[in-house]
Amino acid sequence: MTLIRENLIPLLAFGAGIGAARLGLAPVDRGGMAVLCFLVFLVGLSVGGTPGILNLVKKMKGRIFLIPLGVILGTAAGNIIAALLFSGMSLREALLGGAGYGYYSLSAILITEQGDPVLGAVALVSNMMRELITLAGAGFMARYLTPLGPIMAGGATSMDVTLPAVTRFSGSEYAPLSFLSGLVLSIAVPFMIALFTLILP
Amino acid sequence: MIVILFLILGLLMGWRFRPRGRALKVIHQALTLAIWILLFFMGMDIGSDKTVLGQWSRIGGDAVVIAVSSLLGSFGAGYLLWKRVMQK
Repeated sequence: MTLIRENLIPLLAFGAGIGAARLGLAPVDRGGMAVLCFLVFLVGLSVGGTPGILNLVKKMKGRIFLIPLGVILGTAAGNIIAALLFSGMSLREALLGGAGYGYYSLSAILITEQGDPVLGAVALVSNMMRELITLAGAGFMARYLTPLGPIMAGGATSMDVTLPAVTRFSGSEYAPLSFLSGLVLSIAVPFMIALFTLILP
Repeated sequence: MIVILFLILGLLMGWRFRPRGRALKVIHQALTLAIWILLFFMGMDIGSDKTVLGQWSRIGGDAVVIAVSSLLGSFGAGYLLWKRVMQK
């Protein structure tokens, strides 16, 4: 049921938007931007109010940030290699597409709002795939790619959507690591997209 | 980017006021609703853009390449972290 709620309704909403545009309804100018600001405000409110976060950070003495940092650097490295291997793909497309770390709604909207709807669509689909592959393959990843595997794969989603899969397959002792990594990555998404847009115009 | 300012404002207010229980539930419901509305807007943006409509097969192919390369790179980083940091 959650899987339907988390993945089918967003797709339906997106499809309804395409349908509405095909019927001749014009997009509301800047309307998306207002909802987007409201959305990230809510993300901040929910993340900032989580109890016990500071204690967990203190206990791990900064080592905890190595996991989200690893996801950011590993994703970028993979994307750069992909851009080198596939001549049709620019470095900008590969890096911006990867910079959602699974957080498809936020990354796709940020990129579309910057005036690149094609790349926004690529980001939407690729980040949805990242989330779905993590959900479907968490058992395999935890077994063959160390218990960090599902956490790395989940990226920003390892704080909510894929957290149950991490808990189940890596073990509940990895749940706090997973949660904090996903949290740091969720906050990193707008910053990384701004950074890649700035250095790769 | 103005979006980042709103994110920081939310983080500071969340940290200051510690929403919990019912308030947190309302925030999460509003979050879900905001995502649906945004995706609807995005669909409208994309649906009214002729360059996107003609390129769905390219978009799907590129998305697969980006998703797989992101995952493989992250696994590589995870393996290094496991060997060098977590085992010590």
